[in-house]
Amino acid sequence: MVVRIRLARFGRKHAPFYNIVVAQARSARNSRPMEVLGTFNPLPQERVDGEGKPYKDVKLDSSRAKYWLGVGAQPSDPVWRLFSMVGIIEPKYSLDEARKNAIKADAALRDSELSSQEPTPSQS
Amino acid sequence: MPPRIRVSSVHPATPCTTPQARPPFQHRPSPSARPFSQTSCQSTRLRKDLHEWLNGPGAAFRDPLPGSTNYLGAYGKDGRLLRAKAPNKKPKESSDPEASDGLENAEEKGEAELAPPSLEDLSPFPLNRQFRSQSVLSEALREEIWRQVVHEGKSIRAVSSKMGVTLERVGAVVRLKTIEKQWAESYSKAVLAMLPQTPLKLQDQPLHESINDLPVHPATRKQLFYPTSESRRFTREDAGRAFDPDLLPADDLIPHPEMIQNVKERNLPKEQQIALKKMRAEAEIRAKEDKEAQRGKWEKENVKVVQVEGAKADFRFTAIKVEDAGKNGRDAKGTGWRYGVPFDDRKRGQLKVPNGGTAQESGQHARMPVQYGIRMGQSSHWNALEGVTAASSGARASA
Repeated sequence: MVVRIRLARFGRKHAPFYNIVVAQARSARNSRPMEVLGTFNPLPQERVDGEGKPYKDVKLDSSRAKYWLGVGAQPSDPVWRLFSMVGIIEPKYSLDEARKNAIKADAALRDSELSSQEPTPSQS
Repeated sequence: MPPRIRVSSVHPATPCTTPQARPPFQHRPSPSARPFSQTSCQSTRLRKDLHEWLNGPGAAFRDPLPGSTNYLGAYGKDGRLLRAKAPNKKPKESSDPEASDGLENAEEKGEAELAPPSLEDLSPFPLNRQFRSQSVLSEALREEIWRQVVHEGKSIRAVSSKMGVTLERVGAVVRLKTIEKQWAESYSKAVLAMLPQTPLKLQDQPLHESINDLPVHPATRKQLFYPTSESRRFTREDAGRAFDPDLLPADDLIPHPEMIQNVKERNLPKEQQIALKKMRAEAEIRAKEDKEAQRGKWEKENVKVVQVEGAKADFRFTAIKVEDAGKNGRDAKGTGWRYGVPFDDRKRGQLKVPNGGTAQESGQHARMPVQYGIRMGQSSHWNALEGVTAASSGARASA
């Protein structure tokens, strides 16, 4: 069975709070996991000094996270995103890469349009 | 079936029939409530005395003096206010414009010449003159305590010694004020108006209670004969040790040891006092800087803030250790929601009084149930630290 690193939702209605857990993939969401790697609070917290953006609080044991990834645990997408923020794994979807791909695709499209408009030398 | 009444037994012109309107407490024969009674109208002496008192001296209690208790002890036998007899030349206790609330103002206007109630007036039971009604904290004083702890970030110990209120009571005021803020202010109107209160004064705050009482250590409850040689100097510390090896001397046991220190210093020469003050201020600043440096170091190692492009919030990553949760994963030092432990925050009868952490914390996470059940790992300490330093830096900026 696959071991996954995923979020387990706790908290209350309209007040989610997640444990970042290592668990068997087919076990229930909130059952006792193999290990709790940390927590993720998706509700933005105001800064105490009142300056700057609010923050979302993440608590994480990165060395244990690396260990579990090393033995083949598969992170879920939200966990992947969190882990990639602190450089534990490569981001799955990079905004920069997506932009580059878009520019490349645009250029390719333009090229193909231009080539279709230009009369080919064999025809003339 | 009509009631069987013998006509001859009903007196046609007795005063026993109930008149529709009569003044309150008017002395009337007792059987008037039973118009068909066959016994003759009679009233006991006690009953007559009662009504005499209600209409005579007791009439003063019908309308209580505003801002004063309505105790029997404050009035004489003839129903006159005792303290009105000997007018006090001193101004009223509510002479501070800031300290007096609306109630006291009204009192000032109406009965400006009336002296404040003395201890004698605070005995509700005339036959037990030893019993004195203890005053409660006034609304203004409680508000000030809450403000100093929560907004100014002062320590509970400092506020306690300044206001003359015990440490436990200050803690309770802060906790209950947090809840009271969510309620209507009905309590102060309904209950406080009837009780003696400790007012808030800007200078020379009167003591609410004795704040430096020694807690009784269980080891000292029994008598002890401890033989010791006469040549030996047997101090209080030795006496404590004789009772229990862990028993501290009284100077260290009391809630406010710094007050003893203050009195000792007051007897020192002026130059020494100034030098001491300067030294203490420097030490305080150094301690604050040390604390800040330590926090900065810890933060550098353990906290990483990631800014995500286009997101409304940053992500703050704090390093924790999985091992802190212990072998069964339930240790209080661990992080995250605990497994296999009931979380009764929504259970009936669970009062949500924040009983841990600092006031800043409880205000900050008011919407989250986190503080009641989830372990916050190391960061809870960190948050508390952050709140305190932020408050203190604000105070410094304003100074």
